[in-house]
Amino acid sequence: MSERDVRRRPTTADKRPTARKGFQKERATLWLLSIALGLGLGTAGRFLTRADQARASAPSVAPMASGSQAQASASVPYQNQRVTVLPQPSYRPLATSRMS
Amino acid sequence: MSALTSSRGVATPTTNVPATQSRPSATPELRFRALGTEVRVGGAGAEAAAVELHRLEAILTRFRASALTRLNERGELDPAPPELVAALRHALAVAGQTDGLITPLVLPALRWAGYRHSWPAPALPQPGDPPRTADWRKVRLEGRRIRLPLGAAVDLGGTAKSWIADRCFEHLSGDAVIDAGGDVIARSAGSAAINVARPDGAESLQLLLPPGRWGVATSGVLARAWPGGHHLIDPRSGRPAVTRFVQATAAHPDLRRAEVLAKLALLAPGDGALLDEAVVLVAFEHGSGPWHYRGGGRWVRT
Repeated sequence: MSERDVRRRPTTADKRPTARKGFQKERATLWLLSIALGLGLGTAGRFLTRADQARASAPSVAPMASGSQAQASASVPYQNQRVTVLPQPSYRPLATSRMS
Repeated sequence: MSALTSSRGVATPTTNVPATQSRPSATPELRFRALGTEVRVGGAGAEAAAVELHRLEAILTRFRASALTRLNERGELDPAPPELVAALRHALAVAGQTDGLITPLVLPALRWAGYRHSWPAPALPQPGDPPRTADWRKVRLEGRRIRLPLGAAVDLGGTAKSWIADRCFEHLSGDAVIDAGGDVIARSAGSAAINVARPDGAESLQLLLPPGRWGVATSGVLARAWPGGHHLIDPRSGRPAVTRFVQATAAHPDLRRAEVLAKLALLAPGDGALLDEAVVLVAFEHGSGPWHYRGGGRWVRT
């Protein structure tokens, strides 16, 4: 075996830095992917949370014809929510309370 | 979306609803006449609730032969039906809470004022002074035995409608509504809108209520009224009440409380100690309103 052949054949020690570099590269890629995934999930989560909050605060009753939304004449807090009095019907009512 | 909203076709009155939005009913809804008014029951179990409503009315009515009329004729009843005992116990509790302002013993005064037969059949007030309203504390209620003070007679009209509606509501499951001529009890998984008719017939107000169980009750002196009288007796005078407001509406999670609060707003509009319990209280004077209750006996016109 010539001296050249010896130099051409990499030893285990020679292989280590290259393998480490490759591993580090993969690990960095994984980290980047994780961060990107985390950011993505976080954003989606925040979006979903906002959507849920909006859904919870929005009345689930069907609005009347468009343009009939009225300003509240009174709004009273009740157990972390509000009871609102509208001067005219803006949502389709379940019933009508009247003198009888 | 709540099953009570019109998109699921339940309990949606046609008033104020564009015809193009009306949809067929998908959940049982019954309409019938009872308690001297039009009653509407909507939701799963509506049939059972309606049967129970008729059964309770037959026991508690003063306009035809019933356990209540037997009690009034004899002055005592033993054994009284448990339902009469329970309804009277509730009425007496309300009398205690309101210092006698809302008492079941106003029947002699109601008859004197002209409300002697089932509505609509009023008569003119009798001449002379009204009979004195007996002291509610003198009613004896022991087990199923009821004994009235001498000359007293019971009318449960001040409290029984909401009491009956509340009992019947237990037969309904899920989103449901009972509308007993102005006394409305509703349960909804979503927000719920209940209209409040104005006394002058103008466009309704609307209450937008959070999810859950709610009672909305309206009381007034312009309905069940006749020349010289109306049905809301002030036990202090024994005469039809002379009131600042002609109509009051209360919202409360318990319909039975809402009914009491609406009547109190007419009989004692400045009594903050009693009225502060209301979640919402709206009232109308003759030709003015709505007035919103702000607590402590204060009303603000909006």
